[in-house]
Amino acid sequence: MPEQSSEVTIILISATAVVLFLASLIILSVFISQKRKFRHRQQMDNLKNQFEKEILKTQLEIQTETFESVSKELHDNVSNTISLAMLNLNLLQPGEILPNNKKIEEAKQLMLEAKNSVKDFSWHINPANISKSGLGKSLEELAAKFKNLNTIRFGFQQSGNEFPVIPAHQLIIYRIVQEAVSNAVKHASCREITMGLDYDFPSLTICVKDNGKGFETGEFTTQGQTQKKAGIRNMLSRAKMIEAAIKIESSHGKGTVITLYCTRSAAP
Amino acid sequence: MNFNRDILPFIPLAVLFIAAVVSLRSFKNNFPYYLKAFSVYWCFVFLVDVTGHILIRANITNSNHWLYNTGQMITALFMPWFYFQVIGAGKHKLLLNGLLLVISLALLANTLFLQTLLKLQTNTFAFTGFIVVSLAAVYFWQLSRSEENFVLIRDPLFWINLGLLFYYAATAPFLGMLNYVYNHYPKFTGLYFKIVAYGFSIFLNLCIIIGFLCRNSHQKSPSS
Repeated sequence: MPEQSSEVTIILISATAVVLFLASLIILSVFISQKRKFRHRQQMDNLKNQFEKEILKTQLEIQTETFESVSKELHDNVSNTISLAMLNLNLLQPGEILPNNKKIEEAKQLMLEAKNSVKDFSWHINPANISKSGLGKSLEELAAKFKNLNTIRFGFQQSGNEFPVIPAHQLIIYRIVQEAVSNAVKHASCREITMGLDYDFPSLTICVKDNGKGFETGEFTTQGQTQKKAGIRNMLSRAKMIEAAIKIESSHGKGTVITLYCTRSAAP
Repeated sequence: MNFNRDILPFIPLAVLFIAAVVSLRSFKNNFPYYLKAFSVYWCFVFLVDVTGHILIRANITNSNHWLYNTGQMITALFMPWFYFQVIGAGKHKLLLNGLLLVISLALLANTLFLQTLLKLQTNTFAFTGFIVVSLAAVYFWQLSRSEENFVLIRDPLFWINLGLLFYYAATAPFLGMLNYVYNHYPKFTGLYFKIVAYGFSIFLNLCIIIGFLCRNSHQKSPSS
């Protein structure tokens, strides 16, 4: 049999080529899967970085707001109380410095009030206390803080069995609720705001409801309104960070209900 | 001096020598025990090959087939052991011992009843090729499913497996039929051997050199 016409050689070459092709496919699939894994890892790292940035941003915002309220509190409350106490003391005549003097007693009372205000306030302004005191207590205090405005009625309701929440998530949830309440106070022209917190392990539902002027929910999704509704956008991006969902129900003249659903915030 | 006869066969042998020497880095760099075992095995492969050449070139014997057959039998037993360690199946000692026993019996039966020690044992070549290609495919499958974070091209095991996979994928069909094709088509066999066997032997040894030069010396197997 002449060598050139051999089918065996063709079969041999073809078999080798097929096996080599299969081997190449194996290697190619390994590289593709490695590339996919690398991309996935990169995405996870980006998400983690974004989450950390958001936490930092939230802490900074809380800090800035805290400084503002410290300034206001010192000016409007503590400073006034101390000024009043000083006025009482300045009004004293040389012969009047006696125990049980009404002006001295009044000044003492005012100084005590100022001291207690400073003490209470210093506790409230510490962001770490949000984590320490728990979400329920923190939201209750937030409601109490807004209640002091006197112009709006505030209600807070908590239901279900309380369970520990991941501290980082707690801070984000607090910030979302704070944003929702601030928006209602600033823009809704409402007379009543109700906050609800429902624990249903491992889910958590927080609801902020006002009876203000409301808005069309489609408004904040359009391009032009994006800037105006930066607050809502922040709330949505923060909710995404903790894998929570936000539902906004509102229409003109019918108030707004913002509901936050957290399913992955229970501390392990 | 004839290039085909006097120079060409020494090129893959020279690369094999370099690979065997470089593979000894596994002891210096404290590579895992199975890579150290691979280094020893690769030095053995080099010694078999160089002895085979000397036996023929110096006209000591007419045939060196018995030497290559012995070497191939050891390869047929070493490769399953090596891959069992690489793919993390080394703990299934009973399975491994059973497999090695079956292979030993098959090799013995082949030597006694099918292909003698003096005839080139193509069955052993084909069987070893099948085992290595299958187990290398398992290794790469594990690698693609592994969640471990490491750079693939810095992993010695990746290079060694890449070389073994392609070498055996390319040569097993040919070496498995070597006796037949050599008897019927000696000219084609000679040419094909020079291109495929030498070419992929150089490729395999280059992969081994790169693998043992890799810095990622403590890479665990993908299954661990």
